[in-house]
Amino acid sequence: MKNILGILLLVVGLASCQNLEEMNINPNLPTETHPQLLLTNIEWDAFRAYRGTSPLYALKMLVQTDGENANQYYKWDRGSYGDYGVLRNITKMIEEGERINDPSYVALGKFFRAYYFYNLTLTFGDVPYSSALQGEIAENYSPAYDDQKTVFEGILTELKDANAILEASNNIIAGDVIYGGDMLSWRKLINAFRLKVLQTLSEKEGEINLSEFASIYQNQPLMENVEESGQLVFLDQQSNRYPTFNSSGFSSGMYMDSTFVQRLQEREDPRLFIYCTQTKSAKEAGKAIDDFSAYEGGDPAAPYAEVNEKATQGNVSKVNDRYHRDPVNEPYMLLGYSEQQLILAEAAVKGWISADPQALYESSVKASFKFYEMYSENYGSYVTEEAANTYLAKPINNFATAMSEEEQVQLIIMQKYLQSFFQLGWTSFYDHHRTGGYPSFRRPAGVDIPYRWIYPQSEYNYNAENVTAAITRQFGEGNDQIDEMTWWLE
Amino acid sequence: MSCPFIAMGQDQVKGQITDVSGLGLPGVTVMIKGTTTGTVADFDGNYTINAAGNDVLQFSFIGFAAQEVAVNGRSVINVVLEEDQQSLDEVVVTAIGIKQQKKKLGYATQEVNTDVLGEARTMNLGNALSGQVAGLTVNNPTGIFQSPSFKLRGKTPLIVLDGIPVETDFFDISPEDIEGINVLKGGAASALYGARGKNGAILITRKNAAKEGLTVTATTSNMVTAGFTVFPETQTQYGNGSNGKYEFWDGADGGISDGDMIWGPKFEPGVEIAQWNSPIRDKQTGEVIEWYGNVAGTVYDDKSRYERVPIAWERHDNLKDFLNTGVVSKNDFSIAYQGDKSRFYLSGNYSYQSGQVPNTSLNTGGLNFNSSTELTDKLQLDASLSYNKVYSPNYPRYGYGPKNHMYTILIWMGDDVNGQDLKDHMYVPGLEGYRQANYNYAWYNNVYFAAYELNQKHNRNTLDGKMKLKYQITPDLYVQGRISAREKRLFEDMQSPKSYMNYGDSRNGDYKMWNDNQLNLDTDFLASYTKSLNENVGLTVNAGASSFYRTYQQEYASSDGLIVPWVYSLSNTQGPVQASNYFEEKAIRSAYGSANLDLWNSIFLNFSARNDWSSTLPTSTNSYFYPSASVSAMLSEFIKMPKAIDYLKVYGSWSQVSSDLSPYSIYAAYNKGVTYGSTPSVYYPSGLVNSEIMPEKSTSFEAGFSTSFVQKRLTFEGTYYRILDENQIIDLNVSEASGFNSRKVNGNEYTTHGFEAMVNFAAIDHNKFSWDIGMNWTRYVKKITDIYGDNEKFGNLKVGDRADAYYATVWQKSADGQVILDANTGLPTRDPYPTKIGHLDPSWRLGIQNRFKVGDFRVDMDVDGAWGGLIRSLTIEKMWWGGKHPNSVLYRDEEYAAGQPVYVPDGVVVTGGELVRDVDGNVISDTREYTQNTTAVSWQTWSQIYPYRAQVTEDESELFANVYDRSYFKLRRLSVTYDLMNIMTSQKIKKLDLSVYGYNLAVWKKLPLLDPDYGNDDNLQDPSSRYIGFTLRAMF
Repeated sequence: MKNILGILLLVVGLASCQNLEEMNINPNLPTETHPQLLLTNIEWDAFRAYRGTSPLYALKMLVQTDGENANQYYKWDRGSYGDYGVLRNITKMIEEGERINDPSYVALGKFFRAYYFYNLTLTFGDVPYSSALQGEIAENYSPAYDDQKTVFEGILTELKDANAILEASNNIIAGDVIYGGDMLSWRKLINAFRLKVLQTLSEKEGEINLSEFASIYQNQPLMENVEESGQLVFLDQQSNRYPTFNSSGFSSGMYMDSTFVQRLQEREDPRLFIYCTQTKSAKEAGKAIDDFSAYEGGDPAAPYAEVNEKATQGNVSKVNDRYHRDPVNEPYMLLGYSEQQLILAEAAVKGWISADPQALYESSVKASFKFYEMYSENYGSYVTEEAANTYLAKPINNFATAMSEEEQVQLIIMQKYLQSFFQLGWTSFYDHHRTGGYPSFRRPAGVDIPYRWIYPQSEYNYNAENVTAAITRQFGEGNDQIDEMTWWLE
Repeated sequence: MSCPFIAMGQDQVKGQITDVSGLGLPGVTVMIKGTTTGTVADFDGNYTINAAGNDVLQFSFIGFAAQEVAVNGRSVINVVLEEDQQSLDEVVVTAIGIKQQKKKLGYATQEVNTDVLGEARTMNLGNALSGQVAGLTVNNPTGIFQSPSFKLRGKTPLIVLDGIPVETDFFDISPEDIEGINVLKGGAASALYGARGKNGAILITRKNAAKEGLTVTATTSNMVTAGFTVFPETQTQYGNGSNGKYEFWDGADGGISDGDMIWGPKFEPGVEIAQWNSPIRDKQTGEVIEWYGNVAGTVYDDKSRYERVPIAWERHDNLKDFLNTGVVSKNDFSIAYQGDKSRFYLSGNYSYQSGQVPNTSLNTGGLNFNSSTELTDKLQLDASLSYNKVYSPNYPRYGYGPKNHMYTILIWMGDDVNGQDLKDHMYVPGLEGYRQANYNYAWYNNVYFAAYELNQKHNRNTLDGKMKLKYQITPDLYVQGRISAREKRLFEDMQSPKSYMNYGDSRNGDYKMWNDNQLNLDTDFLASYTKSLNENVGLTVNAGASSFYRTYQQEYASSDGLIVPWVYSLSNTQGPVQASNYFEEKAIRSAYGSANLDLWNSIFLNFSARNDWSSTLPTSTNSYFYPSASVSAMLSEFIKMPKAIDYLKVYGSWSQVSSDLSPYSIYAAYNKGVTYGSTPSVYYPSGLVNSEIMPEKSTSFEAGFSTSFVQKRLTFEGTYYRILDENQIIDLNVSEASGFNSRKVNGNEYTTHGFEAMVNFAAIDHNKFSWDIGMNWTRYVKKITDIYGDNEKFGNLKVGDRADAYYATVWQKSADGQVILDANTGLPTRDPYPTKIGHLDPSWRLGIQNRFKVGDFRVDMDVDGAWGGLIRSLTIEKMWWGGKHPNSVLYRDEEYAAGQPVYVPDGVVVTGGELVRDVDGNVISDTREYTQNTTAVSWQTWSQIYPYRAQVTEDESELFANVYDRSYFKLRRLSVTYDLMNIMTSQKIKKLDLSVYGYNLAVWKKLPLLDPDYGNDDNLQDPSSRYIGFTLRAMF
């Protein structure tokens, strides 16, 4: 009988033999990785960032009819620091790139850092930059805020470095789902983005060295055609599909804004047919797709119940079905050739570079038409090159008829705006503030267009000292409001 | 030893008095009722008394429940006395299976009256514990196969089955097999379970043979739903649509507001509107075609030629029509045998439940074998083996989303929709298998299509084997070894038909499957030595060691769309199959010991210590120690008490417990990210790990007393406890700008103060009628008393806040609390600062168990409830938004008649000045000026914003509140039991108990429309059903 007891004791002993420490090594996940795996994830995130419907309400392209949309009525409050989550992966990619001595990942890391910090600082004003993202390495859990000027200077330096590193390197970048690892294409995109950042700071001449713009234009590679656009192509495969594919939101309570529809109608812009549907009444009346009068929007400044009333009468267009029925639809552009050409056109108008603004303007419009010809199934015939030429010849779109610098800039900014549907994020919103209110945004009387978002509640809770200092120095104590202007606009 | 009193002219009655295990009980007093005549049983429990044929004998003995038996002319009366639940000499099972007399316990434990649980059934054993134990909170979801959740003194307790900690949802345990349930409340009670027992434990002991010879029982218990205790009433006057208008075309705003909302036309006789089930009319030929659903992609998708024929706009009672009668049927048998050297218990059970949601059911069944054999005089072998199966071919889905029938019917389906047609025509004609027929194609499923065509399976097999060998070396010393293995294999799948709507999933059908396998291996060794040093001092020393080892493994695979409808196989996928697997293991090794010192049989000291080594912590900190000490003193043995006081016991305890982490949490690892085409990716987690993390520490102090009056007519027990949680392993939120959302640290301090009171009162004690009341009351408050790194805030919580403080998003208010409305729109604006509006947990809870005996009938009635605390109702918020809320009808007619807004909300408009606040929301300056609002707002707009987009308390507005007082009291159970053998005779059947019962019978509450017993309202629960049933239990 003692044998049985002995066996039992033996079993207890056996179960205890395994090493406790070894048992706690995770067999499912790696602790180290090649940076290429991070790059794919970063690209997937970064090229989809700032898209979706939110900016479209603020840009007067959409109206909501089953609830009060904060963006539509400019009643938003706090923004989010979610971008720092992607920046964490970018930080790790740079670390892993340095670990395996591949500087190209460091270069792309710098580009993506610049891209996110550019958007962060425009969203809020001062943000943590130089001491940000050091939670793991330096155990800095409540980073100090840098003033916006420092952030912009840092962005420009990082972009410059990124271009220089890639210029000196001749690796093929593995894990790159945008350009298949082609370094020259990346340099073109990075340089175009440098132009965008510099142009954003057009009001800061004297404080920021804007002559770099001309130097980039003259000495660095830029995108040469629509195929070189920095864009993410969607695939008809689980979790690779167009982000709003099957999205229910498109089927109720979401309609086109009259502002956007009218702007397209006034210009007889065939992209109208690609962006939205005919109104129900127009369809029932048998109007053709390319009949501009078949489209109508809802008033973004009216109480939403009124717009809903108009919609129930069948007189408001919706977003074109392809945005939620086509699994791949169109690529998302982080920065496309057509936007780059408009950036250059504006610079040419202002004399930053010596180039023909009209040619640049026209190349942009043609590129945009080409983009939709390539990607909008069934609508390609409305946006052929011939259609683009006809479009550009119309007096309202004709660059040659614009006399003053202001009129020229307005034509350029309007084109950028017209290309923004599900594409350029908040670009036109920032252009509006930079150009002193162009394009205009319709809103109820007495409502001002905010300049920024309130800092996240999480900063109030976990980084109170630093965020308080940043608020006080920018806007005065406790004055973290959406209608406060930040440095780049001052 | 018998000492008969003298009794004249009567017949002799004799018999034996035994306990339930069949042992003779010496010293039992036997009295003839209403006289002073009596006797005392001898050493073997035998008695003899002279009594008349119509006398009633009373049997009483300390520690046992008194019994009365009518002589009825019999000459032999054998009596089995049951142990008295309230007795202090009674032995209870405590941590690691050590049995203790109640009077020796220096901490609070409470036993559950298991006979009621057996008679009056619930859907899950866990539900039956509601209100039974002071400090134990049970939240009771209402749907089939939803398991209740437990909180013991605010923390999640360990479940121990036959001495071994288990992870169970109770669907694999049959209440018939349960001998006893004992709840160990404090840290001191469960310190010997180590980390796993740090929050207290619920000890469940299954039956073994308890009686000499063969005992066979068979039980059947059946219950059905009988209406609803709480039913969410909605408005019944208006159907789908918006602003009073509706017309169906494609169910996605292609008609008139046919994409969403129930703000449509009024149900009035004669109103006819084109609907989803309207026939199609060919305008050219006049032909009418029966049709269901939209016409997209068919020849009829041509408005110039075809139209939907308007049909009557009528109300349907869809939710009540949808729900079936729920049935729960349970059948058990058991065979128990006790012989000289061995005893065994074999039982089987099968239970079938069919849910109120169509096409849902649950089957559970099992076989259990429990044996105990004396191999020699000194060596005892206990072995048990059980197999249990839990199988559901399909069970309902909850949560806020289109998979939930409540989401669809209650919130988002107008009563105009004809439910019978939804049921009879689940597919669009000609598109069977491809497209569901429905009233909406933007957001919702045809609720019958979703119920019948989507199936999710759960198939679980649990195999549980245990062996214990106990060697009694000397009468004072024994050693034992135990080994237990519990393996749980679970297969689950989900079959989604084509066109099924689940936001984010493929609309082309879908098949997902999961395989889980978990093994728990527990081994332990215990040596126990008991010695009476002299008549005043007794000593017991236990020492042991144990090992816990667990592996868990999961495989998952899913299709991307289906090629052919209804074929649920990974090989029928359209896109690439996605698959993943996961493996995890964990071990804890422990050594422990305890010492009990009994002084003068009235002061009891206990010391225990345990040390754990966990695999989940860094090697430098993975060893941690749990000391505990307790004392119990029978004060009544020292101090002369008034005669009415039977005894007075005081006790106190102190303990310190720790806990570890889940596996793999001390190293950072990359997670798998998106696979773009065939390019894989990884991402880095947002939580920073800490490779130097230390175990948590909780120190509990507890003091209490128990007393009884007038021969146990009234017993009272009170406990106070304080728990100090320090060094908590917390995910401390950090600035997201650091790159991380949180980091693991040891920090924060929480202090919990709690009181528990238990009263038992024999209110009426007559021969034919008695009434016993058991009552328990509990209150605790947990506060955060220190924050990591002397920070001022932890999340929204500030030092001194209750841990359950409710910081809510509210509307901006003026300095005197009026809602501020926008001057242009008349609408309110959300306050960007979260505001504390109260706390979520109730202030106290109460449970009352009444037992009446009326003749041979026994009636049990249980009531329990909670007082105070807030509950936020998602259902009410969404009902306002969608237009189903009963109050949402208020201004509709008036506004539609006027053709413009008529409702002027109560509030103020800011005319100047501004409010400046710091980051904590403290007002720096407030120069605002106001006027009363005069702007009328569309009633639909107001209803969709004010009661939905922010929290509104009852104080702020009774009409629009979405946060309510949680208080409720519930008539949980009412059962009547009668032994049919009182009116029947049989040689074979010893006992035939019939119980008729009801469960969840009635509720008083402050929250409208919903049952707060759910715990919270985040998942849109089924209506709270009333159950009635009967149990028939035969003993042979």
